[in-house]
Amino acid sequence: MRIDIDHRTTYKYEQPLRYGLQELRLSPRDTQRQKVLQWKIDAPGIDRALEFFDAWGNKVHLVSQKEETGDSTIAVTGVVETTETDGIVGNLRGENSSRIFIRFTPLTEPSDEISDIAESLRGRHRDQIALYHALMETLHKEVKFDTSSTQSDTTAAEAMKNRHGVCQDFSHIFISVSRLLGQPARYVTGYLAMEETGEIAEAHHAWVEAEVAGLGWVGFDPANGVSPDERYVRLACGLDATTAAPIRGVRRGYGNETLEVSVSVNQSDSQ
Amino acid sequence: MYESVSADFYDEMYSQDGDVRPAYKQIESWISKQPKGGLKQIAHDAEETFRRLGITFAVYGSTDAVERLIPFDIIPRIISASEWRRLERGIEQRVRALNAFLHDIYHRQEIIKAGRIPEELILKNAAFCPEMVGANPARDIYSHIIGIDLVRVAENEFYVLEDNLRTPSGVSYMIEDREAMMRLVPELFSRYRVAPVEDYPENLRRTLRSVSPPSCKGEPVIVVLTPGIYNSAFFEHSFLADEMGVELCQGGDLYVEDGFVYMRTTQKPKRVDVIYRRVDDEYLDPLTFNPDSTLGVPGLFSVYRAGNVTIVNAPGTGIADDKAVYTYVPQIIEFYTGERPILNNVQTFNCTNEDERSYVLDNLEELVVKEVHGSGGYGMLVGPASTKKQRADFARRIKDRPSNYIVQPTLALSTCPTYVEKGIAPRHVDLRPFVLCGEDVKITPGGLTRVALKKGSLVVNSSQGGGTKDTWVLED
Repeated sequence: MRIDIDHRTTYKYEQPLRYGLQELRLSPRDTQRQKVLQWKIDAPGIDRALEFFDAWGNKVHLVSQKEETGDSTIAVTGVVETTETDGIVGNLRGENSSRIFIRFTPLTEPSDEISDIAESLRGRHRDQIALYHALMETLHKEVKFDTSSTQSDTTAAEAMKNRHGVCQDFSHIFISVSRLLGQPARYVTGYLAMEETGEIAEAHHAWVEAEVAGLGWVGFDPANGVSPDERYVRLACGLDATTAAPIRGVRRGYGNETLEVSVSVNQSDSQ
Repeated sequence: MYESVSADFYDEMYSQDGDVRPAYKQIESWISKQPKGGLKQIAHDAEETFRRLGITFAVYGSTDAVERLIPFDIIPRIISASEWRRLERGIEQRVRALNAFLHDIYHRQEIIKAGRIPEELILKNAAFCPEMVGANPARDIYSHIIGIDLVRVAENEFYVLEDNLRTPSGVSYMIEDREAMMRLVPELFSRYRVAPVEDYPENLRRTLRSVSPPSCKGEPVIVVLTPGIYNSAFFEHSFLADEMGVELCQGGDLYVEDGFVYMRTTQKPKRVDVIYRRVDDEYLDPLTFNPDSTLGVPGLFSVYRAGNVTIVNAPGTGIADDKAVYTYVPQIIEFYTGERPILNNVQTFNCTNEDERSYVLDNLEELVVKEVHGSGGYGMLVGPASTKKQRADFARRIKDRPSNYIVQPTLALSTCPTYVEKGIAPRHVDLRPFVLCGEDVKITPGGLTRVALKKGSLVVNSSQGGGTKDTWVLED
């Protein structure tokens, strides 16, 4: 499937910005599942950006801006060709040790409730894939998808306690359980081509990759209870939502900043 | 004149038979020839000197005196040339192995795959810095500036208490103590050939220069980054910047633009290549680490990862001096060097092991308990000097959080002659030699000798009433 992406983030400043610095994790990589045909990032300072690979294997752009007046927009446009692989992503070129993805972070630290889920799954399944599907079923039963109940800094433990959450929370709980079982799991950001299927979906989406023996990384979307299919475009990964964030920055200046985000992800017309 | 030497401890001046050891002959004769009140006068002059120089340090948790003078003892500690050579070999072996270990755990993790160290101990350790995985510091060196804490228990028996691989302090005392001694007792220096320590700042500058990033083509610009005047070691930060002839900066003096770090100056901004930072990892860069930090520089870590600046010491070195990892240092040395460790590790009990914990709880009176993430003598129990109540308190804490404590036998720290009210008396000492790792490994002959001034005390930390001594390594 060919997928067109147009993702714009606009910052509006009340007062001129004195200094701004942003890390952009907005460069998808080729995997077994996806091939990037076209990709372009437009952002203030992008022509002088510093490019590097972070510890999680993402290509990062660091852009700095000085004395910006008015709006500043980060625009990403591209075309990605995807294939159905039953969620298998495999190993990316030049990847670091996968074992670092057993490390807990404040957002993925387990609670007793999360440990109970891990214990209920331990040793009960014929293989890891079956275990992860059972985990997704449990989460589907126990946690209600609800966009009004959590924020970006809600931890896995809090979401589990409240039994409510969005894709970020489902992913954090899944990751926490997997790490408790000693299996590397990581947070993935990306896009999901919208369809009228009645599924829970936002164009901007988050899911999980877990390492499965013999297969490498395999995707799981715990908010939807499925493995990512060809409608999913993978952008970046990390230990949790904070470390995988597509845009992370600091700014110096007076007055407030307002943020507008628009994402459109569509299946292209066939050539 | 000398309080009697205890049979339980090794005294560095007198043997058990009361003979003066060869290295101390001249010291002994100098002391014995002092006129009445002579030593007292020198001690008084020493205090005046330090007060004038303004060498102070902050004691955390004491409200009355924020800044105070570290007591200085006027009797130098002597280490013979042959004793030093052995120490030097042991230290070099240790720091090379620890740097190789850091490179390995932030890359292929062979030591974990080989089963020589538990995976969880490293990867789930608070001191492990996952952001460092795959980063490539200049010359593959992570810890460039190291202070290794040693104690001596017998003639040729030294133990390593701690490897300080993050931002060790104390080197300014080593230099100032030497300067003070040369002023106070110049005649003593004519009786010994003492190896110099005053070239440390120049060696430090060379070390920093030798690890400039690949992006730096000409002469690197070096700065010292300090958290500011309220830091307990601020004096040392400004002292080292001064001695090296480089700028002393705070986070606000530096900023990142277009992939490089710049320093604001009265003229145009200046690109910075090497940052000797005395700011802890967590506060270095609010974009990557603690977002609330105002002490660091936003974007600094990204610039570092891209190879456009060198941070000294590298972030994440704390995993190699973590108190729980310490137990594995002998295996670490063997794994990376193929050699037996030259310097001993102190036997360490692991409280998460049930048998070891029950031994510890039954014998607290003879043991030393340290918090895994504590430092500076804070949060520590010295069994033989403790009260029943303190022991009960620590027993409870160990039971509650066994992984938070390590326990070691109380070591019989050696004693050195020390000037006290009544004259000269043996007092317990340790030793922190300073090591520089750049294009080569340089160990300053000597280091900081800390002395527990209270009779019988084994705690040498300055925050707990310890003083310092000038340390003389003799040349052949």
